[in-house]
Amino acid sequence: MKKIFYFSALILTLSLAACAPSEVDDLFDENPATRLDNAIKSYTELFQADGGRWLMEYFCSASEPGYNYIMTFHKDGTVDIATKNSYVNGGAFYSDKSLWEVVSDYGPVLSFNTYNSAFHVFANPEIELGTSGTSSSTYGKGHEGDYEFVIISAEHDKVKLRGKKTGITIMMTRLSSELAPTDEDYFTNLTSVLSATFSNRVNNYVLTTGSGKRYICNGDGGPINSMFWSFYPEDGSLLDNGEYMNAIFTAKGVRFMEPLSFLSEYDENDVAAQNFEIQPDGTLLCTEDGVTTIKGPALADLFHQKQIGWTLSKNEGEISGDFLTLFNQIVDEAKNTKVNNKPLKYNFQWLQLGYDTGKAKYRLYFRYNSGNNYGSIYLNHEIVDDHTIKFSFDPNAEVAWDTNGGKLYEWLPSLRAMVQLFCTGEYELSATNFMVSNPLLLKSKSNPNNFVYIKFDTANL
Amino acid sequence: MKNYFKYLSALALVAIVAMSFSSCGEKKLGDTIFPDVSEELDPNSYTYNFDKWLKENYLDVYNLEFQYRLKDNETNMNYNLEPATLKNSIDLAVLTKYMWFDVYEEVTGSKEFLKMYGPRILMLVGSPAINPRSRTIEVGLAEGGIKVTLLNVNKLGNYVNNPQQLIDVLNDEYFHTMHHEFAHILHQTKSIPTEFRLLSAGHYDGMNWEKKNDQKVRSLGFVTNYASSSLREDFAEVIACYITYSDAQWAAIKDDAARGWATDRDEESDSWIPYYCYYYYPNNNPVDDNGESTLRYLNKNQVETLEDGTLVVKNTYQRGRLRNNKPEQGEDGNWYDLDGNRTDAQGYILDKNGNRIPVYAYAVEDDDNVKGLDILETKIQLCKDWFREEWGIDLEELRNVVQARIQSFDAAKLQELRQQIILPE
Repeated sequence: MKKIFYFSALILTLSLAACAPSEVDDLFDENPATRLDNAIKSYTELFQADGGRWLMEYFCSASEPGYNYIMTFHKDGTVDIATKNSYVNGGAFYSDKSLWEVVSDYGPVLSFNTYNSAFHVFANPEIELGTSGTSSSTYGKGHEGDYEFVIISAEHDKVKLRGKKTGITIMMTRLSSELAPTDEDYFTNLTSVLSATFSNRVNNYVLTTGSGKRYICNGDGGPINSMFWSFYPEDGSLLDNGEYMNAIFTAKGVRFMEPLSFLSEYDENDVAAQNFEIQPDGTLLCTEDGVTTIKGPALADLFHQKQIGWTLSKNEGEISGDFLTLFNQIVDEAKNTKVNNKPLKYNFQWLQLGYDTGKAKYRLYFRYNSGNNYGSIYLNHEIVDDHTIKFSFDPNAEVAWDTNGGKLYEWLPSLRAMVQLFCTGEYELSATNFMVSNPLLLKSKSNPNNFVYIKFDTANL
Repeated sequence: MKNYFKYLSALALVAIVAMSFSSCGEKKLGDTIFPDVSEELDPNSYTYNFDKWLKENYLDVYNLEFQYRLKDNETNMNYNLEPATLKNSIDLAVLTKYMWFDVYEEVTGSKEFLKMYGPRILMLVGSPAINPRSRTIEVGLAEGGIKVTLLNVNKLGNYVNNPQQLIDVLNDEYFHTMHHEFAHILHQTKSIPTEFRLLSAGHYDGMNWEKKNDQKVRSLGFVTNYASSSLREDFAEVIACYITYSDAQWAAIKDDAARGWATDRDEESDSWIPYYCYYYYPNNNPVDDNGESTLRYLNKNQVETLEDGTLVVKNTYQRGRLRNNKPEQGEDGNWYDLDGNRTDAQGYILDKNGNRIPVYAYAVEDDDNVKGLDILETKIQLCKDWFREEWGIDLEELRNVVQARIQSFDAAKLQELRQQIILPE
């Protein structure tokens, strides 16, 4: 009897518990399918809103730089896609129209589902990079780029996507017509900003973290403006400590495909920076921590780089004091100095500070007349500190000049005086842009009135 | 008392269960989790005219979804693929209807056959599916009788301004593929005839078919090298080729199938190797000065048959042994070589009638112990029988309709078909 009673009590308890009203509220007001459907409508409207013009920072793989795409989403289901990259239209600006949709897949997915010749080149498996018949060949894979993107998050002006096949994070930002009235304007401006920010003449850039650690940045296998970067600590080497990351250059600056995680591995106080914006002085500042910077090399180091020749400016206001006086005298003496009772009548053209790879020496280099009338006086320099240099010249050295250099050094007193001017005291180097640092201002520390702007190679010829 | 308590407990239990059921059964089912998706097409859509045409001509009639917008989760994700262009998709939509669906309708007298057995999804892909390792290319896939995938659609753009070239490419690659894939759908419904299964048993090679020479495999009774990969591909290829190949193409195939073939390359080579059906001896000398065979192979087009049936190498004649590449003139005014043979002024040996002596050619012996032509013709007949008996369709009539449409296809026809779908500028 007791058993029946206990059994009855158990049934009663369980039944009441089971029948009690559910205490769990629905987490969402709508069922999943309705929410997905609403999300698709919402994202579709987001892309179309305010003219529907977006910049996509597209990475097809970890082995290529990122590419800029401007996409204008229309309400009739078409999208105009514009680009300027080396794989489309021979590198010239190009735009094509195709279809787009936000579809349901693994959540809402932005899909470019008909062929667009500006965009789908990165999904074409017939494109063969590397060498045919070798393991480097990509035939059958092509660039392996995505054309379907899972929408991870979206704000009115910014959407974060993830490539469906590659898993690469892709950012889209709304593009106003103020920044670029036409798509082609954006790419024209981008080219200008890129060339103002980087130069393939500059070997190394320097990343400095918040904790003060410095890394040398190079282009990996090419100039750094190709946007495939390598890094190594200043006290290390590329061979032993090299880190690599691809990047995209936009009108705002540089975004690496992934955060530079090695920064925080070297020093836990540093953040894994990813986005760098161009500052008024041309340098790049990390937006994640507001401290990490990328700059050109120290000015004295830049001056010392062997692949750059620095031409002395002749423009008004860019050459002053004794530099201006002596340059004018050189021009005059080259024309009027008599040798063997005949005026030289040389048309003196320019002066340049640079490096003679043939003689493996730094020099003061000049040209007069046309043709092969160049001359070198081997003017050495030493780096005093990051922005100070000191010149020296030994006329009795075994190789003090070449043939033309020796002749004009002998014939033109003003050229000898110019060499002497360089060798008097120290010179301070300064710039307004600290990425490319072209031009540099070379100013005498002992007489600030003696200054001259010097520019890459033949920039002012 | 004991019984009374027992009855009371039982009554209480029944009451509790009854209360439980009554209290649990009140909750109503919510709305469906599947939101209403309007089947109305958006008239403001750029592709409205195309989508409307597809609905009216494929979905409503054949219950077929023509997917021209690529969804990569509906493809083999192991491949890297690109979508089809909208323009080529439109061309393929109207041409597929004209060259496939309308043909079956004309032959069977209704749309019912393809409505019943046709695929439910026809998906377009812009690029081919390429296996990076083998570098083989797939241009069509059929999956479980439901879906046919046509790949490499963007290639059509190369031919849009040349209707005859376009129809040839369409026929060779797309309609061939469609008929091939549809044959798969059909034999997945009604099995391949047993007799067909036995004809080439032991000769299929699924691993190396792409390296095989088409002409060589024809002598083994296969219409293409792909047909030699497996029984099911063999069956589908015979049907597809029978329908889409012209009389001239079939004559060449049958000629290949009846011949013997040989090669001077390593037959175990990893790459495709050429085969030949003729051989000859230079200057009609079977051996050289060292006693080595001089045998060399020839293609069909390098040989001609004289009126008496003799095979000769085209425009090639026996040449005399000459000093400084010139014959010597005898006292009789005639030309002679160093062996005393009479030649013409160019040094070619002349026969007793004063004619140049041709270099003779010989047919390669068909020593594979397989009667390729017989097998091929038997396969065709079995396919015809199977179509007639299992499906009530005259395969020959189907072929005739397809061939007539190919022959009459021109720019005007292409334009007429395209006019069905006009998109906004």
